[in-house]
This record gives sequence, C-alpha cells and structure tokens, in this order.
Amino acid sequence: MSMDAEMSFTAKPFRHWFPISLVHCGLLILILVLIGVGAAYSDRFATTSNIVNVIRATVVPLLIGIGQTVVVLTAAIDLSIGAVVSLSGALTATLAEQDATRLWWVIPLVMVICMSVGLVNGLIVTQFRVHPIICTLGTSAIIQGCALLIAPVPKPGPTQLENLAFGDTLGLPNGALLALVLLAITWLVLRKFPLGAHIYAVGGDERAARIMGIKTTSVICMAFMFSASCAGFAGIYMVGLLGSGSPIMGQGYALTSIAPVVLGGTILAGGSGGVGGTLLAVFLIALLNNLLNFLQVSTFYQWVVQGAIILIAVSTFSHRK
Amino acid sequence: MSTLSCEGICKSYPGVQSLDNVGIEIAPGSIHALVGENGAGKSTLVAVLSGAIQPDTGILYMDGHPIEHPSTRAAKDAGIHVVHQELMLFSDMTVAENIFLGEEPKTWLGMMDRAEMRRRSATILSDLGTKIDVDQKVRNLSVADQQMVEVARALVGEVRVLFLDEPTAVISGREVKLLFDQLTQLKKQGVAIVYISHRLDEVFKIADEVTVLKDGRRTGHKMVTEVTHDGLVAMMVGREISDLYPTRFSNSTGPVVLNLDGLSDQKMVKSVTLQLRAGEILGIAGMVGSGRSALAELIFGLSQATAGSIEVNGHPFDPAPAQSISAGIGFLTEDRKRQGLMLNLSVAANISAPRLKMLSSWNVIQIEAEQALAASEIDTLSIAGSQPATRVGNLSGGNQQKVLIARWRHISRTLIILDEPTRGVDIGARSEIYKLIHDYAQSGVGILLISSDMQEIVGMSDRVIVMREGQVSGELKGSDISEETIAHLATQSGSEGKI
Repeated sequence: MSMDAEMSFTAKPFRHWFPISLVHCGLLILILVLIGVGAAYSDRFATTSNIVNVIRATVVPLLIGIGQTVVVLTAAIDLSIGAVVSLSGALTATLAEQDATRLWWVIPLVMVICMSVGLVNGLIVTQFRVHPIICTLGTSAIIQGCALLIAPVPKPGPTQLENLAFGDTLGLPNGALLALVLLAITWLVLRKFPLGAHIYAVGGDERAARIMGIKTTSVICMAFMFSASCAGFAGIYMVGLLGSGSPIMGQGYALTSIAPVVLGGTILAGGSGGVGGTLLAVFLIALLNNLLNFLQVSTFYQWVVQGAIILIAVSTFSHRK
Repeated sequence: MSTLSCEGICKSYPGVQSLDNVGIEIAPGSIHALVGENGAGKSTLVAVLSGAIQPDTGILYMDGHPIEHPSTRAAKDAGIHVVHQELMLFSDMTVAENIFLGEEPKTWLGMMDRAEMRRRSATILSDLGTKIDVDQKVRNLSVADQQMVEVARALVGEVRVLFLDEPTAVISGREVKLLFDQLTQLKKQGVAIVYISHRLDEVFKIADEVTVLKDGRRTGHKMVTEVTHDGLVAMMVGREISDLYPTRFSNSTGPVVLNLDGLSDQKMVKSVTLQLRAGEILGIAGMVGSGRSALAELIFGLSQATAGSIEVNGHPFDPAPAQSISAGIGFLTEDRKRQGLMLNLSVAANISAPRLKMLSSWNVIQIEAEQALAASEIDTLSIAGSQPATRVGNLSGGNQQKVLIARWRHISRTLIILDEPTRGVDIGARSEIYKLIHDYAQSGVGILLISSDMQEIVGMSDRVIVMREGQVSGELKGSDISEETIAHLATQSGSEGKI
C-alpha cells in the first residue's frame, strides 16, 4: 500500500510534464492536411517566404487570442478587444506624431491606458455584477467612440515602428517572436504559478474559489487587464504594420480573438483549456485564410469561414462541461 | 480555554431569523457535535465561525481574544478549516491542485512546487487510508473519493479548528472508519473539531460533547455521556419521535410492475435481473460506486443498456425519460441540486414542471392552476416555510426533497426510483419522508429505494437487493434483512469494500 502510494507520485506519466491533448493532436493533423492540400495546389504555397507570410499574419490574432484565452479561462469574455486595439493605434499615432524619439514614453503610456480599460472592465464585472458580455459590449462602444474622437482619420505613425512589423531576427518576424515570448510567459504563469491555478479555479467555480480563500475579484481584474494590454500591444504593432494608426483598425477583432480560443479547446464556461491550443488554432486559421487567398476566394468568405469555425468548435466542445 | 467561541450571534435573512443569539465554545482536543433539524442554523453558524458570512451582531473569540474574520482567507490563516457538505471541488483540476488550492507551496521563483504538492497530497490521502491518484482530474473520481479529497484539503497546513459538515453523507463502511480514526488522531493532537451530522449514532460513536440547535436557537449543550439518543432527538425536534420508520405490512403479492432480465451497460452494471411488484418497497443496497445509481439511470432511460431487457407491466419497454414519464415511472435523483431541482425557480414551477400539459389550456399555462397545485402539495407534504412563489434554492434540504416528491408523486403511477431520498435531510423531515414513501407504496406503486444508509434500507424495505461491483450479490427478505447481512453481501469475498 505504501509502496503504491510511493509509485503514484514518483512515476510521473508522460502527459503530465508535456500536456498535449486530443484537441492539440486534432489541430496538428488539420494543419498538416492544410499544408498538404496547399502544396498540392500550388508550388508557391509551401515555400519559406509564404510560410513566413502566414506567420506574420498570426501575430495580431495570437496577441489578442492569448489575452482572450486568459479571460475565457476565468469564465468571462472580453468583447472590447477590438475597440482597445483601435484606441491603442489611434493613441500611438496621435501622441508619437511620426517622431520615434517619443516612443519611449508613448508606448508605456498607451499600455497603461489600455490596462486601465481592462481594470474598469474587471471592476464592472466583479463589483457591479454585470455580465461580461454586456459589460465589455458597453465599454467597447465607449472606447471606440474615444478612439474616433482622438483620431477621426488615420494618422501616420513613426516609421521606426515598422521595424517591429517587418524586421526579422533569426529568420523569424520580430512581431512573431514577441508574440511567442508572450505566449511562453502566459503558459508558464498558467501552468506553473499559483496565479494560474487560481485563474482555472475561478473559472471552474467562482463561489467555491472564493470560499477557498482565493481573491476572485483581483484574479478576474488581472485577467481583463492582461487581455487589454495584449490588445494594446497588438494596436501598437499594427501601427508599425500599417504605417499609421486608424481609429477603426480593430474592427471585428473580438471575433478574431474568440475564434482561436474556442477552436483551441478552451471551454467558454471557463476553467478548462489553455494557450497551447490557442497557438495551434491561430496558426490553423491563418493557414486556412492564406490557402483561401491562393484559391482566390474573396476575403469576405474568410469571415464566413471564421464564423463557421466558432460555431463548429463551440458545438464540438460544449458537451464537455 | 476554548480555541474558538462566540456569543450572541444573530444573523437574519429576509423573512428568516437564521441564528438567534447563539453561543458555542469549541474546546481543543475535543470533538464537538453540532446537531439540529434542517434549517436549524447549523450551516449558517459554521459559515459565521469560518468567515464565510458576517453576523449581524455577536462576537467571536479565538483563544479568549475577540476577533473578526473578514474573509475565509483570514479564517484559514488562523487555522480554521471547513469540510463542506456540498463538494466544493474543481472538476477540471487534479487532485493535488485541488488539495493545495490557495495554499500552494512555492519554489524560490514563486512557482508552484508541484513535486511537493503531489508528495504531500499522497501522504495526506494515504493517512486518510485512501489510494487516489493525485494526478487524476477530480471529474474522474467517484463521489466517495471526492469527499476524501475535500477532507484532505482541510488537513493542509496548520489545523486548529476543523469543521466537518455531513462528511459521511457519501462515504460508507471502511472509509467512515478511516475518517473517524483520523479525527481521533487530530483530536489527540489538540485540534478542536466540530462535527455536523444527521446520523445520531455517529454522534454517540465519535463526539465528546454535543450542541443542539433548533430554529436558529441553541436548545442544549451536553457532554455526550450525559444524553440518550431519545433525549437528543427530543432536544432537536422538541418532541419525541417514537419510531422513525412506519410499520410495514409486507406486501409482495401485487402484480410485477418491473422486470429486469440480464440488464447491463458498458461498465457500471453487469447483468442485473430483478423483479419489482406493485406496492412493494425494494431496497437496493451496496457501497457507493457499486452500480446502484447507474442501474436507476438505465431503468429511467437516462443512459442506454447494451444488453438485457426491461419489461414494465408485462410489456417490453425501451426507456427514454419522456416514455418513462408517460409509462408512470418517476425518478428522484441523488443529486437533487444539479439534476433534480431548478434552484432559481419557484416551488410552483418546480412541482409543475413535468406536467405542464395537464395544467395548460390552449398551450397556455394556467397560473392559477399551477399555484393551486403547488399550494395543495405544500399543504399535503407540509413543506415548511414555503409559499408557491418561494425560490426553491432558499429552502432547506428536507423541504427541497419534498418538492421533488411533490413533483413526481402524481406522475409515478407504476413505480418510482428513489435514489438517496434522505441524503442531507434532518431527522424530523426524514420521518415525514418515510411516511410519504410508505403511504405511496400502500397505494400500489412499486418503489425502488436506493440508499447508503443501511438503517434506512432495513427500516423501510420489504425486500433488499444488494449490489457489488455492478452485480446483484444477494437478495434478502423479511427477518433476514439486517445491517450485518447487507454489509456482508456488499463487501464479501476479499473485496475491502472500496468501490
């Protein structure tokens, strides 16, 4: 008996130190299938330059997808992500005025502003008990309005920011590297730090978590602040990518952030899932969009596809909770 | 000096004085039983003492000094832990993560020390005498194992006061003994233990002193050696319950209403054959996890059989919930909060749910008819403190169970499956529920009574089927029915009675 008890914690099964799930395997298979189909269709699809294109296209969805994953894990949802991206872009371009020397204070300021938006979301959800959908729908309208007030028309940004979007390090786009670093940190916090366990617990059962002595209010506020800062950073990145900050550049990004989260196996009811699935799902969606471009399918169909992905993913995983 | 005490605690909710000037002294190295009927205020008192709710008035003392618990966190830090009656576990997290949630050991970087968590979890669980894989997700554990995890969670870190709210509701036999051994051990170490249970025999077995609550007031505090079983019951209900179980006139001559032949599912039920007659109470005994509830779900059609056949009133029957309801089969689930009641809806809506058609004209629900039905059921079943419009979630456990009985009793013309009908129900309400079951059987309905409470099985059943590992391990009739014979059949042949 004591022998068996000994066994149960020394013989650590493989899945515990490399948590890979059925969802991950399924996504990997789909990615390989898409690459196969693309390669069969066109010689140019499976080239390095096209794959780098795909990776470049994953940066923004990955940034906002990571933020959204953390919020969804607490059983909430953040629909204000698109508006925060717009606000961040409009603010960055307006404040920096094409002057790269201002970036050292503009970027931190924009990030702080975005984080306070997240804090407001978190406080409204926890203190006034407003459902996260309604809360973030409301705040996103306010933020969108502010973005339009700040920059009614797109404003050019400092060209040095383009380095963020178009520069490469070790053959990988800088933006993608930064997003991967963010992903790694998030994964580490979710899996290895007490805060991560508390995020899963709050999503699993908020009342029980509170009774266990977990500070649920601060956990939820931190999740919203994190997703807003991810969106803020995505906005700054996009100023580099587009060369200008537009007050509507985040439009539709709430959907863009939710699709990979649910496709990646994170349950909307909270408490189950993780950023690994989000990464694979972001890559899968980018690959699909790229393939549709190759097939010369209109971008409008990409919207149709993204909506369908959300519905299919949610109905596939809904039985699990 | 008492470790934790309070005086003059009052707490009221709209329309209910939950605690009225209550004081209690919890001494170190002692097991203090807290008993009382449902709604007597036991859980509220625990919530106040453990910082989960704030009292309206009254003072708490720790080691004789006045204190305040602004939160459960503060209470935990002071060494006050609660094993909750409802399992407060996180089903998608592992056993070790659940046990250490909120008190994770950390490495120098501030990361969770998982190795430490797993090692200490395994130690605590093996001290409790259970063998649970600490890497398993809690959703994959049986209810009994989940209860042990809940207990283990309270034993992390320094324990000075330990509250256990109905810890034996879902465990049986060997596990109860191991839990009691552990409590005795903790007592010797000077921990102050508060033990809440509806099972008075447990109070006499393990407790040193007992406090009785009734209607939010303290009606007695005695050393266990100074009270008798009947005296305790009298303090709890304010009257003597001469006999908990109604006298049965064994009835096994009615026509067969249910006939199972070799019924099996994928894993939990293996080739079960049994017959139930009209007007008969058939007890189904066995350990938690022996397949009793899975069998009930097969009969009602919540899950599908892979082999065997079901006959109802002599006709082959392919069960699905809607068909079962129209065939007059009722099912009171063991998990009334999640699978039974709609806690946010009114008593009236809960009672009328499966027969809205009958209460409607032109597909519009007749509110008056629904209210009248609810009012008459409240009256007949004496559902205390309830109006048709009362939210079911605000009722006590016993009254919630009565609402479920009210829902099903007119539908179940043929037979009714009662899965743990008195779990978490106090003694007063229990005796009323037994009377209802008895009257129901007298009216010619076949009753399948599933229960972990052996006294209940012995007291109520005309005939008993004992299940073990998904199979029928024996059948008992008349004077052969006793706790010993049932326990023997439930655990025989080398199996230690664990799942």
